Amino acid sequence: MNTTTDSWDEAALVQRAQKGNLDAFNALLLHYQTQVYNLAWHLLHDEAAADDATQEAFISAYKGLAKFRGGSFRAWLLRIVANACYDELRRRKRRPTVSWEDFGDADDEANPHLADGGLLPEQTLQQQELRALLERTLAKLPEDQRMVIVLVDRMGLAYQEVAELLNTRLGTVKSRLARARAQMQQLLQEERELLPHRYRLNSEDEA
Amino acid sequence: MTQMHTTWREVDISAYVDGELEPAKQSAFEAALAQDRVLQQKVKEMREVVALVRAIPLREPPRNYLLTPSMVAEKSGAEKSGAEKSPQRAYRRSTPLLFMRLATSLAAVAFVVTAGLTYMQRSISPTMVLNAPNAAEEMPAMEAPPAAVVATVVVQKEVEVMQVREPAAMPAATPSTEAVARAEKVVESEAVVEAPAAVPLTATPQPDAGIAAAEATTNAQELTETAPQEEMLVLESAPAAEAQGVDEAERVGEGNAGAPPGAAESEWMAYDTAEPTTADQYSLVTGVPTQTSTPSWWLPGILGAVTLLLAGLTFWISRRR
Repeated sequence: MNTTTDSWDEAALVQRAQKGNLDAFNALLLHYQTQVYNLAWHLLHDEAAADDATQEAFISAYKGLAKFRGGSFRAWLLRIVANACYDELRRRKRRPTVSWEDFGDADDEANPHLADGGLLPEQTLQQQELRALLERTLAKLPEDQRMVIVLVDRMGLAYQEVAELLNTRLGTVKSRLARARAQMQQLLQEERELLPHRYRLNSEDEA
Repeated sequence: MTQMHTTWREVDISAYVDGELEPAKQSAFEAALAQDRVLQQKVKEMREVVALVRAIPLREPPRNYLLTPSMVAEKSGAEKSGAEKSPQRAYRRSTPLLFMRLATSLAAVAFVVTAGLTYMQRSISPTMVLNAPNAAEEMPAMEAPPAAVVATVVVQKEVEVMQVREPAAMPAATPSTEAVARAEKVVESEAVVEAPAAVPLTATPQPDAGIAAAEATTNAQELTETAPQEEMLVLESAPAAEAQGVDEAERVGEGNAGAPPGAAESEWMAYDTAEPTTADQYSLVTGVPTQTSTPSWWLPGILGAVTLLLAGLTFWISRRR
């Protein structure tokens, strides 16, 4: 579950980046940019806004590397993008705007990155439907629960990392995650008919 | 079984699925799970939810966010220029203007002061000198003429005599032997009177008339040479007094152009009767007017030009900002 203990020497890269080595920072960036972007997307539900928030977060992270005092670099990085997203959400509350994504998911098909390579058209369609259902269901969760379930189940962070990121206790992370999962189970049960057969919950006949 | 099931909450099941249950609870949970079918079903459902949430891969970012040195430099540079450099630049830009304003003010004050002082000198000296001919005419009737007037008039009359005796067309700058001779004669008889003009303030009556005559001759020659230089910048008292005297004497001479030389000489001889000691005392006491009787406008002129220049520069700098 914890993907930070990879073979690559993250601590050395962070050290070099802190000394101003942009290449080292870019290596870290390439490793985490998908997670950073996805957290931004889950918080903003807007590709363009998530894109801007991600770029802004990396620039802020590079300039604020001196403030990183150890611990999980990924948690530190994700906290920066989360703060950037919260800033954007506050700005939206002051000046509401209409997102292009409110008009439909047409851009999902136009985006080549969303196409899962090697899948049959039927499978691709199934994946897209499942993704849409999942993201729609996640969006219904309270923000604190959504944040935790995305971090743990979507990105694979350890509980301790999440506690570090959210600056909260480990028990709080556990309880939020449990409530989020229970809520997701209930919501997905309601959408059971829309789920692919193999993903249908409570299918005791299959179990 | 039911009791076992009720003791395990969602948070424990969720943590157990992730392997995050505390070690103390882990074995107890596994023991209960082995016997409790309801708990087994709860764990199964929780795993299905987690599997479903993890089933869909993450969205691919639309691009790479690799940072370039220019991106980082531009950002930080813009922030610095906006937050920190502005006050320094403003201070740096305002310093020359403040300095120029101060310098212009000082130059203007200096100009006004020097011009005022020069004007005051100018307004005093000509009055004294212009009164000299009148005083000279009245002098014979006066037993004790004002000291300053006497001192000035003595020199003026001396030059006047020379001027009158010279041909009108002859330039005063040309040394005239006759004038020198006349000056010698005058000084021989009035050595004490001549001495203050030559060495004012410190001069004392010369008992030796011969020495005084020699000095007076020199002074008379200098006097003749400096006569046409009306605006000469002379700081030393004696030549200044002489130049002024010649200047005024020329004017008087022009006024008396029609008069016979004898008349001027008779007037001059009348002044010869003045008490030498009295004239000397007057010169010693009121030597200042004879020294500063030539107000020079060069200093106020320069200061005025500098003031105008600085004002122009200040205006230019302020407009450039």
